[in-house]
Amino acid sequence: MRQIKFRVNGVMQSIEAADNQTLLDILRERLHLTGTKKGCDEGDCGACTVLLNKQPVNSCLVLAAEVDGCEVITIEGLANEEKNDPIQQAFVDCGAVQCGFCTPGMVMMTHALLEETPNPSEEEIRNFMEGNLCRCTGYVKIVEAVQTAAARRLPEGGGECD
Amino acid sequence: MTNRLEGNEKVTGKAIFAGDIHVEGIVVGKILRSKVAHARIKNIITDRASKLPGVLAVITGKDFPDVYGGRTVRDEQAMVKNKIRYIGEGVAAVAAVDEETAERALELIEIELEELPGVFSAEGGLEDNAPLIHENWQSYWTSVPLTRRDNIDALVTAKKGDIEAGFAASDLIIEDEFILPLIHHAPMEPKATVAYYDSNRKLTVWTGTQSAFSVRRGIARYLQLPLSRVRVVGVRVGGGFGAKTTATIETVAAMLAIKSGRHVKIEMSRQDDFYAANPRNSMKIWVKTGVKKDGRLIARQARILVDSGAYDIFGANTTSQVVTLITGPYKFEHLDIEGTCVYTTKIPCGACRGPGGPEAHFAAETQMDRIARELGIDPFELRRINALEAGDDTVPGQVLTDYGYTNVLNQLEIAMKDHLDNIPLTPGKARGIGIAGCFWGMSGIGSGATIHLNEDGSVTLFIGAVEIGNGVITAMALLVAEELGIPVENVSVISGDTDAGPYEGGAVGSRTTHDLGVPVLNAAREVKKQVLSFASGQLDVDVKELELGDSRIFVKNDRSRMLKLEQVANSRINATGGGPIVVTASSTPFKPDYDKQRVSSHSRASKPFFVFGAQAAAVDVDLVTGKVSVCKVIAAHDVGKAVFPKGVEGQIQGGVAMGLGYALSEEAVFDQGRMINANFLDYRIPTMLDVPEIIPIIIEKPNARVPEDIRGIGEPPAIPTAPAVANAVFDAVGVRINTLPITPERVFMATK
Repeated sequence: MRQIKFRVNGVMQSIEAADNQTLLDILRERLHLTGTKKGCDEGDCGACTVLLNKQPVNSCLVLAAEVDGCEVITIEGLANEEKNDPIQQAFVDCGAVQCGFCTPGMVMMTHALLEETPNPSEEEIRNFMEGNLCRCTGYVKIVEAVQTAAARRLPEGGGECD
Repeated sequence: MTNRLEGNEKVTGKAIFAGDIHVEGIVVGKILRSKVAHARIKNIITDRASKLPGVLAVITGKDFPDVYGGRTVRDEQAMVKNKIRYIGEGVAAVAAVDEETAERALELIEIELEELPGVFSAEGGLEDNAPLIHENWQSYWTSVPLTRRDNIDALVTAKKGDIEAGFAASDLIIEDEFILPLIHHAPMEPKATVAYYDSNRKLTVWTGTQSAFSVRRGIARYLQLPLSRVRVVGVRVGGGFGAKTTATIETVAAMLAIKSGRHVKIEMSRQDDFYAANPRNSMKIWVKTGVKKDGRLIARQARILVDSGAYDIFGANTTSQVVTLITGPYKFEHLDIEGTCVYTTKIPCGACRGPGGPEAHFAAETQMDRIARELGIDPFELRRINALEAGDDTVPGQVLTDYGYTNVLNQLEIAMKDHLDNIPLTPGKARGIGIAGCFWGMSGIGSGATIHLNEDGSVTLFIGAVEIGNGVITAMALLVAEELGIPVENVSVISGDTDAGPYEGGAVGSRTTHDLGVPVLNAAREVKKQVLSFASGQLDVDVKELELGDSRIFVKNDRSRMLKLEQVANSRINATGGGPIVVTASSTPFKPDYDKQRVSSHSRASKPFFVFGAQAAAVDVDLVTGKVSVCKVIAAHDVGKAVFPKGVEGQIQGGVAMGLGYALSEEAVFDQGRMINANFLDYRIPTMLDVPEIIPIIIEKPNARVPEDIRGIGEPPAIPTAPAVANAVFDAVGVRINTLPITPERVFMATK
């Protein structure tokens, strides 16, 4: 066991974690931040994507010990009570959500993409998000949602779904 | 267009799936899964596991009543007592304070086994000296008379006309054999469940299921409890596709909860899901077809060999459906069809998105393409010549009242000109375009719905259906909102709780929007009738002169005279003899007759409705590697009336994506009954780079009646995709790949 201090969604956390515990398990089991999903627990599906020091990671592949002193943003850290993040709203508006299990990971990945590439092409979106699997939507509306969110975040605004 | 009503909780991470449930004192349940495929259990010693500190309960098959369950064939127990029949089968389970303790406890369970020879293919199960997988098969209850014998789970036959005369009268005879893999639903959420047995001896199970009532029935049967003491709450579900239709881990969690007195959570790992979810059956299908020079189909003979795995689960039904659908949406004078579903010592297969549909249509629709080419007839024209129309009958002799395949084909043909003609070619790749059609019989299951008109004029709708991503709560809320003239936001939907909503048949068989839409709308109509009737007294105007809208009741030709819906709701509550407006409605779809002389052992002979679809795929085949990439898919589907259009589009696009996986990349690979690619790295579901633009074409019936003409869309989009892709591959490189998936290796070898 070791003591780990890290910031999650802006709040400092200090917890004891076993050496073999993953960030995903800490988030879900200890901090009860269950928006981050466990789809495979082996880094293949992207449902557990969070931002670690602003970079998207599969939290199932990150050991808790590695995040000591780091900053983690999860899906719960994007919205405030009144207003969704533009990415979240675009996913709703574009019909990019069906069962919703891959959605938190998709939203976090979109966040990472748009921070780096504010106006991505469809090809850039698909390449960047290839590791996030979805079984419901066929991805078409997810790509639309990313494009819509990108447009809404740009200074000139706009961005409507079909 | 209306957005999904539960969308916000899903994008914010607030939606609660079963694995997200946390209550004080909850413990971890874990199942010990068999590592051998076929064995007699001699003894299971649990003493060491039970004594481990932190272990609250250890159970084996002996802890369950000696009953068998199953939908069509009751051949499975909640947990095996005497015999293991597949790798992954649960043999014991523990509840412990944490995951680590639970895992250690599983390691301490000692199992004495007598290993038996396995049966790893349907052909193997049919051999004379094949080991018998179910020794007591003769004692199993079946829901319909089935022809069963030894390892044969069901032998389904259909005959019409005179097959030999049909072939003799044909100008061209074509034969093909198709080999279809076992594929997984692979929902993004592996199944999870939480159970608790309270001090009033009531069992509550919160679970990720497609059908709360089906799970309740299964638990009650396996535990021999009255339904009144079992409550199942379907929480948010991370995709189902058929994987989450019946009680599986729920029964185990329930027993652990009873034994431990605690809330017990079982979460399947991704590997558990690959080892034990009930996937799509692998099959071999042989088809021989006789056709006239002018393109008229005359005779079809088919032999379908289905690997059921260790239990029936849905095998007899799937086999029956292939027998019905093997014609494709076409008419034949002469038929001779035989489907044999065989037990093996492998993972038991169940219903996977349109069970039997993609399999039958891959055979029927790729052969159709071959026929078109050999006769030099346009593939659309060949399909139109033979299309099933109203008045034609299906293989089991059900006379169709639904029709519209020709229209679907016509719409697809028009859309192809707009969307496929101008895709730029890629150097080093051959372009091909293929089409395929489909028909699909929806299930019909009785369901009910209750509506409360609240004091403020909003309503609460109680339904037993679980929202699994299919959009059921949005679709049902839209039906109510439109009927009552209120905003959809004013409809609160309580769903998926067997103690809160009336019986509901589940998110299966593309049935929900129709089967549940009927009672929901009937209930809404009765609410409206009561509202107008009461308002008529209050306004002293005949009911016929009143209309509902904007949460108000207006006098038609003097809209200044009106009542607010909330005034009516309140006044009715306070009126002597009135009371709150609460309406429950229920209905069961009509199942037409079929010809009992024509089929035997067929468990799915009659369907309330048939729907039609057709898809076109444009592909590029890499001339060096043989890799097929899909450039675009157009999917035209008949839905009668789209209640929640954005949801319908999503279902079409998602179904096509699943069809692309079946076509190109998905296959569970087995070695002596062990799946050797049980992870997403080796079992490839389509990624964002594999799925192209998918253009949905929603075809509605002119002047569609709601709810009668609403048709389902959950399954059909997954059906014609693989044959459309295979036909496109032939168009590109001139080879027929009759074995799925169409891997680069298969294309490479065929074109070499």
